[in-house]
Amino acid sequence: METSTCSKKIVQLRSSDGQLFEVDEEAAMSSEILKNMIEMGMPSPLPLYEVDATTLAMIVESWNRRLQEKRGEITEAELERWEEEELLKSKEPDGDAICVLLAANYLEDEHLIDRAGEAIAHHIKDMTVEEVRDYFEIENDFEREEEEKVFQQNAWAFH
Amino acid sequence: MDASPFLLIAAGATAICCFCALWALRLGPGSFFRKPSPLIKSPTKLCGCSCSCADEEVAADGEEMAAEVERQGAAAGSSMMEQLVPEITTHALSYLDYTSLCRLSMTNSAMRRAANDDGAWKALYHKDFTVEQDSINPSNGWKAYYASTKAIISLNAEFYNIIRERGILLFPFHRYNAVMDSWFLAFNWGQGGGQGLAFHIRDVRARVLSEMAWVTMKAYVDVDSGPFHVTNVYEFHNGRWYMVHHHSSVILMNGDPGMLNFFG
Repeated sequence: METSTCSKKIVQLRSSDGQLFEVDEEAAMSSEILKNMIEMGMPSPLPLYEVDATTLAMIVESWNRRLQEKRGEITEAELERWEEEELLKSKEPDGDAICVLLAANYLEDEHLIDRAGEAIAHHIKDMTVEEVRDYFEIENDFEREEEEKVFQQNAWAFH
Repeated sequence: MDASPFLLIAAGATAICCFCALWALRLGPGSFFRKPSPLIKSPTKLCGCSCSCADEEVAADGEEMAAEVERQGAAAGSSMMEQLVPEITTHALSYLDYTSLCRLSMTNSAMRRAANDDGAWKALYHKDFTVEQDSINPSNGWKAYYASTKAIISLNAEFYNIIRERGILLFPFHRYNAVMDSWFLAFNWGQGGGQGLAFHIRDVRARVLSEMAWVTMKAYVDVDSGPFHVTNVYEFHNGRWYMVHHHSSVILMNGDPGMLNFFG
């Protein structure tokens, strides 16, 4: 199939909460899952059972930007800056980077998994253990004694 | 003095060798080998982590671990992260540095299993240290091996930092003036001036066994001379690491064996 710069093949996606999105087919191919669905000729709208509308909106925009970069409409540096500052910036609990990582993992989008993984690593780099718990919204389920043991065993990493 | 710089440096190397051998005998307060972390305290195990790693069955098989964690997560009710945990592969964990990985393992029991994953620590070891030891299988798991390697390399670096910054006057070995004198001579230090040596060490490699470790590296003294090959051997006694052997030899620069043989 010929890909011209005027390629207008659109594909419809449906988020887990029922919202519909229209995406350039070429952009959607960033996701292995969608690529397979498209190549298998699955009917639109393609259902994404584990990605909600908010997250899907962000991801679709990231795909569009990657397509722009591929076509030379924006530079790689501009793409990276957008990803860092807009897509993955939030350090709030249950923030963007985590949502994007989960969705990218489901969608099998290697590039986005990498970016989100790096962003999360960067976010938690200088956090305390308590802050990491808040960030990931996880409960401390250690008994007091066990917790002391765990802290002691890992003390070597904090000299 | 008409001696060539080469000779002086070789003399210095010998002085260092003698000095380090003497240094190894020194025990007691004032020794500035680092305070051992609680991890290294036990003389029988390499680190406290090894006990728990064994007890908590750090899974070499990621899938088995993931399944176990998923059961846990489902029971506990799912935050985003607990959804993520079954999905965490060595790949995803690979973005974290050792501090973050440890911190993650301290958050809760599910995270501890995930973040203590043997494969993740093996990958981190390869990233931070070397891939040259690909075939070894550390008996206490890769996290413990990473921890002990880091400890040895830090200790080794600190030895050179001290020489670099404070010079020889820190070590009051009154009985060993001959060694001190030759050191001063070799590096042109005046009395009362403890100017440090600009050692730079590169290509540091460590191999750590339960009670012994060795570190090899290249040491560069100054711009004009070539690097030394250096090997330091450490032994673990009473909860601390001690340097018990030091060897350095000049790397042949011009293929002239004559000068090298002066000190054998």
